[in-house]
Amino acid sequence: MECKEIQDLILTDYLDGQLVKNDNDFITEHLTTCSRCKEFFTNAQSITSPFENAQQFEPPPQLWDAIQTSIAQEKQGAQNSSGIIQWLIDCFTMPKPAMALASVLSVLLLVSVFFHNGDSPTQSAFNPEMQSDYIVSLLEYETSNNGQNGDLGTPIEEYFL
Amino acid sequence: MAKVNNETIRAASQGDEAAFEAIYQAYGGMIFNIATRILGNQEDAMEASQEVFITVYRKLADFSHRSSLKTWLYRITTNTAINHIRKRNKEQERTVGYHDELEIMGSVNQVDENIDQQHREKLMSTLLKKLNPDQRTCIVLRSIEGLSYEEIADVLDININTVRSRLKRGREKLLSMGEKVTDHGM
Repeated sequence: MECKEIQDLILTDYLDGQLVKNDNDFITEHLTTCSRCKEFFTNAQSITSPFENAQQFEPPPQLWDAIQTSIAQEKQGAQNSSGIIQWLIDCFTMPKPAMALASVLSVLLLVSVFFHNGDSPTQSAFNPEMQSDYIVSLLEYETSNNGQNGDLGTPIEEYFL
Repeated sequence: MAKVNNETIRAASQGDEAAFEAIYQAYGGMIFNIATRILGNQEDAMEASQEVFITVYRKLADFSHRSSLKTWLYRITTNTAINHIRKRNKEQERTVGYHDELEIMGSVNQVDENIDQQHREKLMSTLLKKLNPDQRTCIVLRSIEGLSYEEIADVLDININTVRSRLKRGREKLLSMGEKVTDHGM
């Protein structure tokens, strides 16, 4: 094994104790005879040793509070969206009689809206007071012309005949 | 670090707040520490840790037990921290001035038992900031958390040789920094 390969192993598996025993022993032996690799190993140790026994940081107490707040918001959001989803699910899974009744009522509503819109403007604008006046005028006309027109009854009959 | 049993994991995944808090008590410190080491400051680490626990809350029901909970949490934490670094302005990373840096790097070659903890912390932070997020994460998991190469590969979902390669390149970079400092007569 050349020094370059040994130095590659020193930087990784040898420093980290990941080598199998035979390879590990081979490098340890090499370091006793090769001053260049020995120096390389000393330098490599100097950049890994600061990480040994690193301090453990305590999480600040407000971290758990912040997590709880975020989760509460998450739950609230989930409830709001699940409410809409549940409503949609209910619409499609409601009992059949209730669904049938709702369908019939919807159809009736649609039909009534359709026919209401189909009326002529004059009819829809014909209020009850005008209707009663019209009927009274017809009756008066019929009464006043009674007997004068023979068998003819109403102005319409008179028109056609 | 107390181990959390499967019953607690199941309860937490079904919305049991006490069980979720038990997971936090067991692993909150570990998560905060890794985030601090990768991100380089406690403020960002707090934000990242919060994000990790929101992810855990959302995904715990999908946790398949194929890996341990600890490995799963390592994975979420490293991913979250790496994403934070990538989002962060690159200039923000270089908070240590050039002269401070040389001074700190000068002590790389004189680490001994007497070095005080505060200085060691500053040195560690400076060394880690020299690395890209992938190299930094590998070094944190190996040199601080003490994970094996196989465990790191599992956490990061990468090949074991990629772990070796990232550690090697990261350490080469740190060595070259030490040499530069030595060349400057530090």
